[in-house]
Amino acid sequence: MAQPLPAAAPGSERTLTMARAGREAVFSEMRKNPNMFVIGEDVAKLGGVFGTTVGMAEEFGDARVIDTPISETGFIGIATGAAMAGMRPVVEIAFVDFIGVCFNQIYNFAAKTHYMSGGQFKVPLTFMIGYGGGYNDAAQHSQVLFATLGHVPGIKIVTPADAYDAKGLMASCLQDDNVTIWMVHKRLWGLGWLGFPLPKALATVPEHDYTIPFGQSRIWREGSDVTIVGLGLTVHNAMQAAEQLAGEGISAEVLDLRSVVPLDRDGIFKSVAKTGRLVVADEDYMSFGVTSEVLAVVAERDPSVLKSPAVRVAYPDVPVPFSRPMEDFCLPNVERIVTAVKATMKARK
Amino acid sequence: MKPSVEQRIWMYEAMYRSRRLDDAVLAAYMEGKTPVFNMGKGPLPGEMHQSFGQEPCAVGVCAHLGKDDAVGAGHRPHHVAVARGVHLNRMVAELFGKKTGLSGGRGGHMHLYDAEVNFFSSGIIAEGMGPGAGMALARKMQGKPGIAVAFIGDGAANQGAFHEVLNMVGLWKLPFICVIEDNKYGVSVHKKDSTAIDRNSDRAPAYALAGEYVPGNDPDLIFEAAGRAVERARSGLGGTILELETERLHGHFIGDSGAYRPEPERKAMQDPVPTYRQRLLAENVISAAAMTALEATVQQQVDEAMKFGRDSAYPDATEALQRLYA
Amino acid sequence: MSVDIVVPQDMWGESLEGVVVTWIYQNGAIVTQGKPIAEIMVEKAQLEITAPASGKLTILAVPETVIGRDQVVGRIDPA
Repeated sequence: MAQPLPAAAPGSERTLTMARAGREAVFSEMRKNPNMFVIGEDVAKLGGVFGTTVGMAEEFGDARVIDTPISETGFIGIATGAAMAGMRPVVEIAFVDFIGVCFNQIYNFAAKTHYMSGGQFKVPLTFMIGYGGGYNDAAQHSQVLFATLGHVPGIKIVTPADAYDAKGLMASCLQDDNVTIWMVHKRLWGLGWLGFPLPKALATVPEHDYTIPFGQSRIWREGSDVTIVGLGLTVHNAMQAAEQLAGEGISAEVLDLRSVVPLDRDGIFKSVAKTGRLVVADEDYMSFGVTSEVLAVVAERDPSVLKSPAVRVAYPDVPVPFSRPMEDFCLPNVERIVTAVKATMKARK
Repeated sequence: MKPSVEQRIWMYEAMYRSRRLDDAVLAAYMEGKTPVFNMGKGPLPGEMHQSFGQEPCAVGVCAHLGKDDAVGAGHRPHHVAVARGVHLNRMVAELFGKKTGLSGGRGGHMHLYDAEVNFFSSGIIAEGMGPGAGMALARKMQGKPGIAVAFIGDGAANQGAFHEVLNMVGLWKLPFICVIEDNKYGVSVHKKDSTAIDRNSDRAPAYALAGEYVPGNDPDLIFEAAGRAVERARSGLGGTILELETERLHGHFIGDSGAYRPEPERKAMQDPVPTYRQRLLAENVISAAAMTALEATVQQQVDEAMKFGRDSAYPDATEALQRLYA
Repeated sequence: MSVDIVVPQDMWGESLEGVVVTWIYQNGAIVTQGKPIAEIMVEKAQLEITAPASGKLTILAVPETVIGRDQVVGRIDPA
């Protein structure tokens, strides 16, 4: 049983961006474990395209914070072999869209080595990956791909929606002996040039170390009429939608999945059984993805808990369009979530 | 540096063990697959890529390696596994899919892992190179001795991973050797129809590596060249592309007749195992009696391993869901 | 004797303007010298400002404020 966490002195709480909070967890583990190293493009001199590694090369040196050539298949393979030989690499892939060039190393090698070797080789490898659109970066730089990564066995995937969860989930990833992926929506990093931080992605983050378990969802707002399941940025959209809906007399519960693999199936079902209505909001492409999996949980366990059909608010099955009106149309925004909730309220069994 | 008497005998013994294993596996593989060849039938199902003719590559290199080193092989791993000293009984049990196998049956013929001798193999062409180089990097970071060697085929030299990994090996001076077993074929396509240049070892300067080509599929010559590459890696000078001319005596996998190869070419191939045997006897490296005794011992080991594989139990079906995560 | 918080000269490069992105501590918080207290964006780089002294923080430029090179963004009153 965990010790009670020490409280910060009043007034001295820190409000951190997600990028800074994630970094804190990495700094802490790097200081504790000399076998850990960071590797990827632009991680040393630049501090990461999204600020994931600012200050690390200065503290740990270039033997432990390694800038690579543009060779994802190569350096992810190298990181995998280093992990098999006792190191704990942290690999940066700035944009999830780039997994295409190295997917074999991730899903056929890193993810499967522990299993295929019958447990002889562990692969304690953590990926830091940025995802998501809404700032006109178009089809090859705006994707989410939870489903693509989540579909293959052997990986654990988390996506924090605020800075507190960012630090705790990163610590869990770094301490886990498996292939773990820590993914953050680019617009939640806390970078001014991607749009000002959403107030709720910043959070009070304690100075001490802590972890958050895999497979544990989080209720951001309790409600009784409908469950809105979200992850990453859609949690924030869902919260805004819930505010708006409250003004119209609808009580929405907002459930943040936090963990794609393992998925908190019990948490999902418990909430939907309570409210009887379900909206799932996900910025990944709709078909064959997270929204499908959430619906499957309810359908498999007991569809009779639903008072009306569930509604999915996901990215349509098209490449991300560049032009602003088209991109905005596709995003799982507040308005679409509100409309979806009202649809569940109107339809009666 | 030429191999000593002991090393030459060791090399022949390892080649012979690999060969006798290949012979036994071929016979067992065909059980249940005649008259109709169905890959999924019989005690040894799945694909099977055998090593007939390529044994010298494995022994000439592995003769220089010790417990601190790491070895990665590709989809045709058996001769490398044997030369590396992978546990023979557990390896054969793995081929049979038994619970006593190296991975309890989860890996199979192309995915052989033996952590005790730092050996792994991978079924995706060239993709074992990255992890191999990563094991070299780990040793360097940990300040531990040891080098890493990855065995690939000539076809793999055209895969992206080959170029990406070797660039980093050159850039970071990793203690890594890329051994190319040049049997001149990528399944059915001859090297001259797939590769822009004649020799992949000529690519070495592009990555600031040493490159050496060894003709003749000769264990002694391979031993000498491998010695140079190993010394280079151990002394911190960096990596080598070691390209070894060899022969794929059979088809790409069992079931491939190799009919795409011209008849005269196939007839001209030399079998390196009896060739080396004759040389060792002719040069009085070993007496005929000692040779017979050695071969009998090896045969016994192979027979025992095959029996172990056949007699061992299959894993419980629900084991399929175990060992996903550490 | 309060201490001004400004973005150090060597962080500006050629730029004349920056934007306050976020404060790590609240107005009135007690901060420690040398610890990061704010993030300012100059061109596309997000820079970290550390406390020039220990003491009580007063925030003058809130997030999204556009600031000039020598602008004082906050003050610290040593305890």
